[in-house]
Amino acid sequence: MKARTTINRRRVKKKRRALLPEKQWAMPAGFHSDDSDVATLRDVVDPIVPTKQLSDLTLEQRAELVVKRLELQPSIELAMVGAGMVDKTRAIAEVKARTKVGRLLIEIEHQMIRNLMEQAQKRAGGNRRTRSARKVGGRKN
Amino acid sequence: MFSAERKKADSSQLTLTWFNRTLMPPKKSITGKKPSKKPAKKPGKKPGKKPGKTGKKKPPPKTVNVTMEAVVLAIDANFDPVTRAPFEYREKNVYPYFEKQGFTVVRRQGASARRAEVAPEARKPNVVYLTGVGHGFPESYTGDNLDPIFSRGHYSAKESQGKIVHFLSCETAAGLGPSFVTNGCRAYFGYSDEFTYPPALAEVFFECDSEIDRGFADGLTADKVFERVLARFQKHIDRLKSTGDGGDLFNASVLEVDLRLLRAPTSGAEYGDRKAKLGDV
Repeated sequence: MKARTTINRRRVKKKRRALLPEKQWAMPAGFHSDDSDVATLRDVVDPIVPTKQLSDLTLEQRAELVVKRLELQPSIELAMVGAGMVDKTRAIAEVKARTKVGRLLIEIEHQMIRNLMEQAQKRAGGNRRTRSARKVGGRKN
Repeated sequence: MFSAERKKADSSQLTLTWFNRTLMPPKKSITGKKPSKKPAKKPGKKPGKKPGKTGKKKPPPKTVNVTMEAVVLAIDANFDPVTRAPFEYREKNVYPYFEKQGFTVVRRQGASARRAEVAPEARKPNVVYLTGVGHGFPESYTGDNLDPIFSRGHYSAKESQGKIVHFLSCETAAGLGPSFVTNGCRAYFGYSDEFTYPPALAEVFFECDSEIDRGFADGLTADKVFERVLARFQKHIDRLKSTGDGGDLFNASVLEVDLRLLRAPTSGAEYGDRKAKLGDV
C-alpha cells in the first residue's frame, strides 16, 4: 500500500514537471517573420509558424517584446545593487527609455524566453503526445 | 657540563614557544600556514659541528616569532533595503566563516562604511582581503549613503597593494576592478553591470555570490574559487529550471545573467592573477 502511494506521488511530480504554465505559452516570445506582430511562445516553437529568431530582432523589437511581456505580469519586484528597487512601472519605463537598467531587463527577459524555448523543445521532444493533446484541447494551468 | 647547560637553555626556549602558542588564539598567519607543531631547530647546534677555537660557545641567538594575523576588512553598506538584505546575510553566513577559518574580521559597516574610516584600515599590510556589499558604479564602490569609499584615482596604492578584493556591488568590475589590479591588487571579483536579485529568493543569490568568500577562506586559488562559484550558480539554475514553474524559470534567468556579469581573474588578466590565494603573500 505504502509502495503504491510512493509511486503515485512520483507520477504526479513527473507530470507537473512536464508542463510549462499555460500562461507562458500565450506570452509574447518573438516576432512573426513578416514583422506584422509579436508571436507567442506557442507560435515560436511551432515549426509551421514562421517567426524570427531572437538574435535577428532589432533593439526596438527586443524592447517592444519585453515591454509587452512586462505589461502582462501582475507584478514585478527586483532589487539591483546600484539602481535600487525596480517595480513593474519602473521596469516598463526603463525598458521604454532603453536605459542601462532597461537594457539589463531586456537581457533578463530574453534569457527567460531562451529558457522557455529550451524547456518547450525539450518537452516536445520528450513527450510529443502530451503536448499535442494540450494544443488541441488543454488550457490547463 | 656544557651540554647540560645547553639543553637547559633550549628547553626553556621551547617552553616559551609552547606557552605563546597556547595563549595565542588560533589566528591565521599572514603566510597562511599553521604554525608548525615541531619544536624549533636548536640554533647553532648541527650534528658533527665542532665548537670554535676558543672552546666557548656563542649563546644561541634569541628568536622572536612574529605572527601577523591575516585580516579581512568587511565594508558593508546597509542604509537601504537593497543593501540591508545582503548585509544581514553576510553578517550571518560569511564573516563567521572567515573567523572559523582563523581570519580576523575588521568591520566597517553601516555608519562606519565611510572612506574616512575604511581607508586607514585598508592601508594596513596585514589586511589581506577586502570585501563587502555596497552600491557601485563603474568607477567607484560606495558605502553608507553612497559615500565613495574607493574611487578610481582617489585612493592610495597601499589600499590595494597585495590584497584580494571581492565586492557584491554593481558595475565596479567595469573600471574600479582593473584600476585596483593596476595598483597591486592580486585578484578582483565583481560584477560588470547591475547585480540583480528578486527579494523573494535573495538568499540563493547571496549564497552564490558569497561562494567567492568561502572559496578564498578555504585557501583556494582565484581560478578554483571561480570554478566553485560557477558550480554553485549552476546548481541553483538547474534546480530552478527543473520545477516547471514560471517564476522559478524567471529567477533562473536572473541568476544566469548575474553569472554572466561576474568578472574574475579567470575572465582576463585585468582582474588579476588566476593563482592568487589568501596566504601566499
